[in-house]
Parts: sequence; C-alpha cells; structure tokens
Amino acid sequence: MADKKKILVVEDEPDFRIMLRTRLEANGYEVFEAEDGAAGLEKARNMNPDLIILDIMLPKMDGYKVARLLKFDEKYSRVPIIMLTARSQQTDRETGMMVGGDAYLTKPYKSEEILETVARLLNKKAEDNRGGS
Amino acid sequence: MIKNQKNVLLVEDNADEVVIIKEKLKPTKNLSFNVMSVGTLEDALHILAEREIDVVMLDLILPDSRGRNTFTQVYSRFPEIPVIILTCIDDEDMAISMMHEGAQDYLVKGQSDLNIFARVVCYAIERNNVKKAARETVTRLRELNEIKSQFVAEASHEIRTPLAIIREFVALVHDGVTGALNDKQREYLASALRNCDKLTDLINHILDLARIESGKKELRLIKLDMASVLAQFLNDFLPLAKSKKQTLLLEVAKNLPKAHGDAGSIQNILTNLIGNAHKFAPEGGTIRITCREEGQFLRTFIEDNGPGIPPDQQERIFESFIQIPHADGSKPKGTGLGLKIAKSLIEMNGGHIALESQPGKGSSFSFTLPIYDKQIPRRILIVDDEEPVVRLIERILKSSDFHLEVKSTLKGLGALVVAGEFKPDLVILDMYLNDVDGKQVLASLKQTPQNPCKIMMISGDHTRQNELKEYGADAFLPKPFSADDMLDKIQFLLGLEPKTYLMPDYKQNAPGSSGDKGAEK
Repeated sequence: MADKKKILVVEDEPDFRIMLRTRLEANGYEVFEAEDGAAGLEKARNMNPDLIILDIMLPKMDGYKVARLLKFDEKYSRVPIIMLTARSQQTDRETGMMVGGDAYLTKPYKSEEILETVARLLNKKAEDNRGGS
Repeated sequence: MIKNQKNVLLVEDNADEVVIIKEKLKPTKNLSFNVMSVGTLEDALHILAEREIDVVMLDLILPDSRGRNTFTQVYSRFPEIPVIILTCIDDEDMAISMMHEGAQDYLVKGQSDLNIFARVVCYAIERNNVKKAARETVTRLRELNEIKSQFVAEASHEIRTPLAIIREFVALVHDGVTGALNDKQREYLASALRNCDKLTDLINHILDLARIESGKKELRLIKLDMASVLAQFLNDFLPLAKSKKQTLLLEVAKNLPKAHGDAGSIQNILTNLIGNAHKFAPEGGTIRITCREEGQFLRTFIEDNGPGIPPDQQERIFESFIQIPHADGSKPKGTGLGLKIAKSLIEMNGGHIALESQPGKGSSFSFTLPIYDKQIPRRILIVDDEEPVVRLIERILKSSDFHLEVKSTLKGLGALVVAGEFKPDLVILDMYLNDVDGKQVLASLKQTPQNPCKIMMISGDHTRQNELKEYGADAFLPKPFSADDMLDKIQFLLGLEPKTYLMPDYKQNAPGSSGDKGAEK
C-alpha cells in the first residue's frame, strides 16, 4: 500500500472540521487541520500536503489570499485546492471557477461530493506528474 | 372626511367663463371653494408646483397648449391631483377619452347647472382620495410581500447549514465510521437520514420560491442546445427510471434551433417535471420526452402514462402545497412546491407551461423557451503572456450568453498591430507582460484614435487601480476574479443586453450592488 495522502483542512468552524476529518480519515486519508488563514498558510508550507480544503471566509487571512499566495509560489502551485464557500446563490460550476482554486464547493455540501472531488483532483495530479516527468 | 375649504385651480383663458364658473362655485353652508384662475398652461403648472391644490378644472384649449397635450402635461407631472376637464358641447368625445387616461370627470361649459358643478368637484376630490389610498395599499402590500420573501430566503438559508451538519454527523454514525452498529440502530439512523433529506428538499424548494418571489433569482440567459441538455438529463435520470422499470423515450427533431434560457433554471424545471412523471407513471410505465419548434419557441413535452389529473384540479396543481393523492388515496412524495417553482422559472425564462391530462390515460406537461436569435458579434482581444490565463478567459467568454468573437495574443509588443487589424471593441490587458509594461500598451492603445476600443486591465496588484485609471483604463479587474466578475464588467463596458433578468414588478438592484455575492457565511 502506498502512503496515506495528506490533506490539510483550513476551516474555522469546529463542526465542519470534525465532519471533514472523520469522513476523510474513514476514507483512508491523513488529515491535518488549521483554524485560520494564516495558520493554514504556514501548515501548507511546512507539511507539504497532497491536497488542501480551504474555506473562503476565514479569520486572519481569507481563503482567496491563502490560495493566491500558494498558487504564485513555485513550490506549492501544483497542490490542488478545493475552495469552500457559503455563498447562497447557486454557482454554476464551470463559470463560477475561481482563478487559484481547482474546485469550488458550496456549503452545505454532501459528503459524497467532497470525497469525489478529492479523489478526482488527486488522480489528476498523479496523472499530471506522470505525464510531466 | 372632506375638509370644508377646497383649493380649486381653474385653468381657463376665457374671462367670461371664469366669471360664470366662479359664480357656480360660490360658497354654500357646508362648503366653500377657494378658486384661483389662470389663463395659460404654463401658469397652471407653476401654481400646481407651488401651491396645495385639491382639484384642477382644465380647459383643454389654451393659448399655449391644445387638446390632449394640455391634459397630459398636467396629469403626467401631477398624477396625484384630480383633474376635471372643461369642455364645449361639441367636444364631449375628447373629454370622455381623457377620462380613460386618468381624468376624474368632465363638465360641459354653459350646460351644467349650479348644483352639478359643486358636486362634481367634491366627488372628483373624494374619488381621487380613494384611488390614492388603494394605490398606497398596493405599494405597501408589495413591500411587505418582498420583506416576507426576503425573510423566508434568509431563514431557509440559515436553517440549511445546521441541518447539513446534523445530517452528516448522523451519516457518520450510520456508515459505521464510529464503530459497528446493530440492525435496529442502523434502521433508526436511516430513518433520521431520510427525514433530513426530506427536510432539505423542502427548505431548498422554499428557498427557490422565496428567491423567485423577491426578485432575487438571477438568470444567466445563454444559447442552449436542448437536444443535448435533454439527452444529458435523461442519462443521469436513467438509474431512477430503472428502479421502477420505466422506459424513457426521447424524441428531438433534427436541426432543432438553439433555445435561449438559463441552464440552472432548465435543470430545475426538468427535475420537477420529469421527477413528477417518474413518480406518477406506474411500475414498468413509460415517460416520453419530445422537443420541437413552434413559431418563435421550442416546446418540450413530458408525457407519462400515469393516473392523470382530474379536470377540476388541473389549474390548482400549480399552486403551493396542492398535491393529487395516488389512486389508493396515499399522499405522493415531494414538497408540493415543485410545479409552482417550475411554472415561475419557465415564465421568468420567457416561456409558459401547459398541461393536458385525461384521467386514466396520463398527463402531458409542456413548456416553451424562446429560440436564440443571432446578434452581431462583439470583438474582444486578450493580451496576456500566461497561456493558462488566456485559456481561462477564453473559456469564461465562451460560457457567456454574449455573442462574441475572441482573439488573443501572448505578446505586448505585437498587440498594437493585432488590435489595428482585428479592430476589437474591448481589449483585456494584463498589467505584467514579459516583453513590455502593460501600462505602455494601455497608453499606446488609448493614443490610437482610429481604434476607439475599451480597455480592461487585469492585475493581482489591487493598489494600482487608480494609477491605471489615470492611464486611461476603462475598467480594472483584480486577480483572482470569478467568471461573474469578468462578465459583469464586460457587459457594462460593451453595453450588452443585461444577462440578469428579474421578475417584473419588483425593484431592480442598483447597478454595482453585489446582491448575495458579499455573504459568505
């Protein structure tokens, strides 16, 4: 078996953090948490996760900025980011795509949605790496 | 209550008539009229603007205005003040037609006796007060309805999040993530989950409806290929149909023109209508979907061979919470709001819904959507040295409903030449280019009078906005941007038809107000 994939969850609401951690761990991922944007950015740089789940409204530094700083950094620009938003207006997935994020989920999301998106982005990353080398 | 002193403005250029009318409006025991008289429309409009006038008596033929225009000038500026038309005996038809346009009454000069004059004036004032009160009531009710819808929309949204959290924690336990369960425990938690889902559906429907009713629902009208929309939808629907062994049939005419509509609305409409067909068609039944051209519209039919709808229920089923019980008397699943939502969405998209049903044979719902018209394309040139950004912008532009022709270049130095040939209506220009400063490209483009295009600058550096505006940029788009941000700006810059359609009769958001967009949590 390959090593467990590392996922960083940056989310300030404890309920969502526990939910995400439990669901992801049950599906074989290793989960790290951060409670605000600044801590999220630091953890992303220190532990080099395979994927980041990033809330947009965060204390200290918002998710857009965290994503931008990571995406503009050569070292981390290839780490897939799933952006979470509570925007109530249903966002068209194609046209609502953000520059910086690789996927965009609206809260409240279904757990299947997030698992599917995580798996898809990790697969895509693995393929890109194979193709690139 | 009529107050006893009435201010009457008499607009009449014939001095003899003025004397006669003043005579007829002499004070009585209970009532007195304070009559001011003027001889021209201009003077009349002055007095109306400055004094408090209870009623205007208006001769249509004045030195500075004649006929219909005289009335329109007064009524359009002072719709709150009742107008009585003064007319000659041979001009009654004109006076009557003015009453259709808002005049309160008319009097024939030289014919009406003393009593009628005073009475007409009093009634005109009184009727106008009633009209005003009714208008105020309607406005107030509309405001209240909007406040209600807004409250419902906000409340529903606030309920959704905790409900989703409850559902997920129950699901985690149910799925055995926290340890093994016995059959009873699993069964009970499954029931809790089913009811969470039911409640979520209901809240989503209430939220949809409240958004539609408060005019908050925004549509992005685009060119839609109904053949592929329907095929894709049915493909996703197949597992559900199979669970009842139902047959799905799709018949679409070849060379069907494209529809003009909002993709999200169409999905919602199909979910409701095809979902109903699935619910009511029997086990092993058939759902037939057809789409064809009909004048300026495309009509999509959804037919089932279910129990049908009794004629006396056919109008009512589009109302909230009206559901037709199953043959065995049991209540159907669902929220009872689906058809109402479908109907509203179809109408917002410029179409209408129809139903034909014969009890015992089945139902056929159909809806229309306008056909997409071709317009003259607008040209957009993208100048950015990062190829992925160019591709992303191209994708965003392609996803819009605007009819555009797009060209791109990765070099800032060649941009002027390309712009000279392509003659774009809009240039989307990155501030940081490999070969030259984006600001210089901006300045040179703006100095080329034969090429009067709009320029939108994009940059990750928010602080440069003002500086770029000084260089002549028409708009600034900070990175990262969403597709909506970009398309909103383009729509504004090119004066394109608004992509946002709101329900008629409701307040439109001021341009630039972001509506829901600011709320993240």
